[in-house]
Amino acid sequence: MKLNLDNYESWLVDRMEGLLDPAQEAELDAFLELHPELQEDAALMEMTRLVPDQEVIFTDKASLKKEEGGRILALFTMGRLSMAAAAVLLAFVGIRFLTNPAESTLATGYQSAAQQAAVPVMAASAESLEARDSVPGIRHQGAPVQFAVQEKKMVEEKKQPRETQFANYLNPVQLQQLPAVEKRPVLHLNDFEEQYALINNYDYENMMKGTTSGSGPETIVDKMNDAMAIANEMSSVLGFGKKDEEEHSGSHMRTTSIRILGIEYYNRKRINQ
Amino acid sequence: MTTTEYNECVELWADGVFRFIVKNLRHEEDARDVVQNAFEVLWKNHSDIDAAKAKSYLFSTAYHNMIDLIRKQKRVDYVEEVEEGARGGTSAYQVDLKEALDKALARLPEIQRNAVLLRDYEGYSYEEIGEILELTESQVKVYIFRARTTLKKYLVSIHHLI
Repeated sequence: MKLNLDNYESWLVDRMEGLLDPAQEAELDAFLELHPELQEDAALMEMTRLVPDQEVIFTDKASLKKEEGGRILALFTMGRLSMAAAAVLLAFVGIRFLTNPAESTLATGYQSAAQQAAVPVMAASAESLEARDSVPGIRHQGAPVQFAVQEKKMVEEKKQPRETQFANYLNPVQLQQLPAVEKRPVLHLNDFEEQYALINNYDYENMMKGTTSGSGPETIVDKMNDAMAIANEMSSVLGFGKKDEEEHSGSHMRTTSIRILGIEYYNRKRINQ
Repeated sequence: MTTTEYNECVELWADGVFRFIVKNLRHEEDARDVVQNAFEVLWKNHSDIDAAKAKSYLFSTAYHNMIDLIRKQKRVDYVEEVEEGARGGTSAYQVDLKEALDKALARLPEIQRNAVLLRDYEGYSYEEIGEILELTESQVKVYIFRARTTLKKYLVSIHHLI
């Protein structure tokens, strides 16, 4: 398109838009030299380039922003909470199995240094418990060895006087309550049931009459314990978790362990060959 | 687009979108509402939008929100205001060229004004402006040319008055 007085505005705009090549730029400059009356026009055309006012800003950007990872954080927190709740429930299950010889499970328990440290009263006697419950250093030799030693110890303890057996299975807090507990009527239950019935203030009368399961009215904790016990059994049956098998006292024993949030849970069973 | 990228969009483009809209509406509160609405739409669809396309999506959404608002409110008062100023009189001599340009901009047809604003404020290419305003590239070029020549004519008249 030949530059002339009819189309020079289009060339001026094209120059502003960066659409002219160097040759066209030179041609336009030469044209404006030839027509000085158009130079004012050219200067005003350049002034139509709009410049944003940097003082005009959107002041409340925070209201537009979204919390980064907010949902993820919420889910993570919920996940952590539910895992913690599961860990607590598993601990309950562990105690329940430990205290009920009617179950085929011989011992289900957990170990957590963090948990022990979190309970000052317990921590005060942690060393004595360690010394009492297991052979020093045995915990580092793996669950099967540890449980084998504990089970052997349990058999030996059965031969001891009832009072000694009773004290062996109490924590320091429970031991402080021992005098009061000892004044309770003697129950005709097996040793484990009796000890934990006493300590946990179970419903003795109804338990003896056979009108309750022996642990008072069923609570939500009992229901959760049962649910977790089933889940625990299933995990054992389905076979997830770390497994270890060994021969002990003529029986074939299987130990399944699973680590959740730094707490290792064990499930130990006598299995039929 | 992730939440982080969305928040970066807020930092990078909120001011630009706001300037673009407020220059059209000349009403800060309405412009603020339009920008907030545009970002809400962006957030609602952020998982389907590529971060590279977020800016033009944002401007396009804000532009269409603004058009809806203008049509709803029929803001003809701007033109009246501009015409009043353009009549000149003693005050016309005190009006500097920048102010004159603002007023001239307000007199431009909506589509021309938006094309030239996107071009100069945001440096968008003709193609990008076409995407936002739903025009072809050649239409964009024509509208920008018309906008500039109209602005220049207005400046010439003001310049002569001064």
